[in-house]
Amino acid sequence: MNTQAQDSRRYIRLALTAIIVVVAILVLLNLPITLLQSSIRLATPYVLGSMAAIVASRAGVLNLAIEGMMLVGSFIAVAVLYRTGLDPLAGALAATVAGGILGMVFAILYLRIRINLIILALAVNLFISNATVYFMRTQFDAFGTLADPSIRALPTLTLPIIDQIPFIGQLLSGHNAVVYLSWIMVVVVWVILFRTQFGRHLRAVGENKAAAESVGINITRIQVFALTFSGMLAGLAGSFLSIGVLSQFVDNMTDGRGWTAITVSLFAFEQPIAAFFTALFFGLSEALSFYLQARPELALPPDLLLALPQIATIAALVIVALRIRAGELLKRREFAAQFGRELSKLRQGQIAGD
Amino acid sequence: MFRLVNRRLLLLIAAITLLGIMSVRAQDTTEYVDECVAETASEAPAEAVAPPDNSDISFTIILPNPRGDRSFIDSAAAGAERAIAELGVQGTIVETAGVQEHDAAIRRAVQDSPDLIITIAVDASTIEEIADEFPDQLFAAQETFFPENPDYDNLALFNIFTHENSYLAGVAAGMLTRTKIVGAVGGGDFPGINLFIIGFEEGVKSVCPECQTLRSYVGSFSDPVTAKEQALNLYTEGADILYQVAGRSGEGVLAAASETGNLAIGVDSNQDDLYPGSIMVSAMKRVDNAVFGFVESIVNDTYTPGVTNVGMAEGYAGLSWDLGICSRTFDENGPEDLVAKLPEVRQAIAEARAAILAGDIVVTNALLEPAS
Repeated sequence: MNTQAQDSRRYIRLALTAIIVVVAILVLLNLPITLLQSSIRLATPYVLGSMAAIVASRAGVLNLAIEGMMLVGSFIAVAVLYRTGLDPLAGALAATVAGGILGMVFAILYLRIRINLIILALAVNLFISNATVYFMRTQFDAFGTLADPSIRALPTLTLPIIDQIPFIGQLLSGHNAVVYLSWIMVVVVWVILFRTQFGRHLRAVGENKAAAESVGINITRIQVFALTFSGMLAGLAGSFLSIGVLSQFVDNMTDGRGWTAITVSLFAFEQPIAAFFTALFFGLSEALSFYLQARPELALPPDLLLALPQIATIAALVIVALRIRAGELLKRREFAAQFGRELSKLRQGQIAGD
Repeated sequence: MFRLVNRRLLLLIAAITLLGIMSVRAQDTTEYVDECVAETASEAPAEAVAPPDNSDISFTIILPNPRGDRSFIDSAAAGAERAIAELGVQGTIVETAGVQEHDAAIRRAVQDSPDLIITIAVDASTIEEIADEFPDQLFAAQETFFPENPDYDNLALFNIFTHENSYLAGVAAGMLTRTKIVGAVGGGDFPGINLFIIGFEEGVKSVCPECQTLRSYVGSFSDPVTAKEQALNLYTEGADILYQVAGRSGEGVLAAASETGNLAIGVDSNQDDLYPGSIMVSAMKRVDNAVFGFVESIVNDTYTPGVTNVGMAEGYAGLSWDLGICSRTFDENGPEDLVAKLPEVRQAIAEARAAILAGDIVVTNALLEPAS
């Protein structure tokens, strides 16, 4: 009887999930394709940023300097392309390297000189935000905005075959290289973390430093790697803003996206795949708020619409929390029922498990 | 509230249609003369005059944000630089990172006791407190709005209203739109920004009553990425001309216009040359002239405390097409069919300008009527 009840419950849950998925797909199909493309673009810095946060925090270092690492990427990408005539991809590569170097410096300051992690991260963010302005003035003689026709944006790529499929082709094809790279990076991060020995060590360091050290794992090496890799991902995310969406650097152009990326990673319980979908969800809710703003017939207050991503986040957090709680309650009730049955069997003189 | 606005709008539209009919008739007789072309022909080359020596006079200007918006703040800084160069005074330009530094920056400037401290878009409470504390220091505040006009002997307030030149930009947009949909991207939904947007929308409706106007607010003045996505969205919705009123975020709107082959209207500074052919005109706010005027008032000893509100009539607001700037970038780079319409558009703008200055057209001032 018990298993039957469990089975039927499982079917109900499966059916509910299926219904939700179908409804979600129907809703998505009815939204204009440009809105979905826009949400993919908006989600890309969150995808890369949350991967950066996950890699670092899985290795036991909370990287709060993602904002600064992103900004460095945005700046370096433009600085490298400014009047050099280089290919935009060189800008993205330089941004990645610059982010990596900053990550490594961060790691050395933290692990060698032992500066408090939070203070260090805040200092890095402030330093980068002002250093970019300083170099923009001294090196490029530009105030606030660094723009020049020589800075070209990353070209959009057309995916062969996929491009022919209706809807999917329009949705997935025609983005720039960093967007596709961000998707690949999700898989790469997942493989590194969960399918390699190095990833196992990295997670072990994050779970319990002392235990990992006792079995001979080189903690410093792992954390330096994690922070460098984290910086590279954040730098790439930054280059997407300056030469992916725009083709200029604007003072403090990340505008809090690094912090949102950290939220995304926490929201997804530091799971790469879940973080990817969370980032897409954040991007979609932002794009949706822009879409609804441009519909005067709805007459929705713009301030409320601009808060839509935040409202959606809180709603989703509440749902997740309720689900966890409901799961716990269910387990507790099942345990009580099981316990009661065992107890009554004992009273009847039977021995459990006999 | 909405009904009131509607009635006002209807009246306005009726008045403007009447005017329109009259102007059509007027067009037959008077041919529009491009003042700029006439001016450049007769203009003599400017002579370099050595600045007078006023090095005993000093001023400090506090900018509300770092320079580099290629708009409002840069315009103020340009005015200060012009004052230093042309009046020969000692000037210090102080850039702040944001509202959190305004108070400290002004107090620091007071320590140097310059002849005048100019603040740009600083909160009313900040400037009031400091002006009260240092009665011997002269202050001039640009773009600071008090709920009630304060009465300090050492504080001059200067406000430039930009609803009227936004109206003219709206006239241009209404005449040049192909899709009959135009839009505005604002930095945030508050009266200081809606001043521009409402004026613009009224201008659009005056020449194109059936046109639809869209709005989008970025929620930040330093997020060009979001602004670009919003602009792309508005262009997808069918808008072909967007008016950006979003500071550094506005860069994203201009970039979107150039990328999609649509048009944008710049704001505050002359932005026509940023993407030649994609920015048809800029609604200029001559903050530079205001700053220059402040310094000049000290040099000439004509400083007067109190509130001064100026706008298009006084020459502090206008378009980049106007006499004095004469931007013709769009004429040279814009789409041919639209460029062909420009003389007609300039004629309509000249008429609308005359009607506004004569008081025949009253453009809603969102700052004075926050309820609208």
